[in-house]
Amino acid sequence: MNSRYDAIIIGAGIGGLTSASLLAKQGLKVLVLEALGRVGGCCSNYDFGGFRPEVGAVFVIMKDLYNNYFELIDRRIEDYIDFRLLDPVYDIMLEGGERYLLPKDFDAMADVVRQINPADLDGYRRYCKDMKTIWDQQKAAISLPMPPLKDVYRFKTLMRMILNKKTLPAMPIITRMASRNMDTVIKSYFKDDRLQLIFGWENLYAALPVHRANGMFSMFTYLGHEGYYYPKGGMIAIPKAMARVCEEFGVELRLNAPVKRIVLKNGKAAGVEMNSGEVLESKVVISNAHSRVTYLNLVGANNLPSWAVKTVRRQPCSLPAPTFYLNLKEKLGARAHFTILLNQRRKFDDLWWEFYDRGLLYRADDGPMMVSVPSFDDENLAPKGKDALSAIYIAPYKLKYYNWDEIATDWAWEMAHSLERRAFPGLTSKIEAIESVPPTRLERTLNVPEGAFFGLEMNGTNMGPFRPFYRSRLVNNLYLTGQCTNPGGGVPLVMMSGIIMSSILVNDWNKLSS
Amino acid sequence: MINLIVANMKKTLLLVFVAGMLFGFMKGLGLAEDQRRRIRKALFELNELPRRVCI
Repeated sequence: MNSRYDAIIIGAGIGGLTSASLLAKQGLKVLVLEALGRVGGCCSNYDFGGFRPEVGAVFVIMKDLYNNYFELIDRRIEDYIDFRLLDPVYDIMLEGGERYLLPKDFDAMADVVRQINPADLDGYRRYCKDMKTIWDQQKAAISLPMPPLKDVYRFKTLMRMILNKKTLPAMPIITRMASRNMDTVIKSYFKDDRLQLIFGWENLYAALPVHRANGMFSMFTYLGHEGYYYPKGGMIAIPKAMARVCEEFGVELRLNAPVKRIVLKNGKAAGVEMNSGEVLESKVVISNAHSRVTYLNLVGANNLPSWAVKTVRRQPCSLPAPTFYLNLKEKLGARAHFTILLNQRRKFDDLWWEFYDRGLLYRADDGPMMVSVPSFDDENLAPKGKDALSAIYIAPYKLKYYNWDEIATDWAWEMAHSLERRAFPGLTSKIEAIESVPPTRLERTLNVPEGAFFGLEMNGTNMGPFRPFYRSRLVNNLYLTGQCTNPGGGVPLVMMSGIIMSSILVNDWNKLSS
Repeated sequence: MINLIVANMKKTLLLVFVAGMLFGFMKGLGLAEDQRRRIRKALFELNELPRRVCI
């Protein structure tokens, strides 16, 4: 085969950039095509008139996983990204005006728990002890020296990671948690409704309702004690650093280069056709796009068996993450980078049954909201003396009675007024500009079906063997990476997906080259 | 089609009987709309699993 490129990667998201750098380091000639004018996809910062709120990912956890990637490319993470520790982690606001700063320190957090309900202090200590046991096991796994890329996707590597000396004490807790949903797990530690909420709202990061999120997601709040970080320059600093690494390895990166389709020859992916009509040939094509976009739009439904088309189309997406951005002409006066607005436990549960599942919008004051002020930790993300704010809320993709494009701005104002009433008095008088990004707009701009940042749902029937495989089983020479492959959505996990996919491709390379 | 049903009358009746039992059982449980929706979703997911492995 006499191709111009060895691999063409569609999408300069975290998965695309991870695999581009790793494959280029192995000597492959790699081209990355990105439809937007910036890198990062769902881990980026959006330029909104000089204000730079985040798009998608809002903070960094499991920093050790980032180290693994940098270890594989023989670089030092400190030379590329400046991570800043967030402490306090959250400013939590409960219905009725109760407000708590959640610190990183265990003892300081125990004081907060005591203040809310002293009876749950034992539960909190039990929670921390159990989560620490699990986290120690996982930390021991990911802090092992990375094997050569070829050996990453091998059974013995996986076993070496899983079976370490911390595994045995962690197994009973992991089994108990993994076999229950998050709601049940949190209730086993905390009796007080408010503490159940404070420790049990982070199912939203799994983009699943609390009753469908696996119990393992209960660890999220604990991870605050291990450190939440924010990179200097915003979340886009991560993909920018990776793009720099790609450049150092000779990867060609084209921005504003949307791909129309994947070119197939004899049932094999053999290149791509750009929107401009240009056709580029390659030995393999790697898609960092959503599996639904990859198969139905890029490969084309007519090139796939009908059962596959139905299956890809029906595989459920995670929750959408509608967002609104506020440019504030004055400082907001936030107490932490993140302010979390929660209501009563009953309303939080009802949200899924009474509203979300039925395609209804709830009263703005009744919904949880995650407010991020990126300029709180990095002043350069907003003009001097001003603040950038982004707020993520929960709403269904399909509305029963409305069209998102028609109501997006009105709903954003409704939410902004709610934010003013619940957390930040005088907020609306500080607004310089407002921008609403409903799921439909996320779908159009980022090409993520249903506006779901986390890709496919992360539950038992969509994980492991039931998630699209890295090496496409439908089209030869097509590889997939990103949030729709294992291990799932979220920046460090997508990075892992890029590493594993690259390992598989490197092992396949001799066969593909012959 | 009718010939086929008549020729397999025993099997058809058994199928109708089992379906009726299942329907009656579900009705007897008096499930709420949300629960019915969850069961439908679970059955749908179960049905999809073999094909998801092939993607």
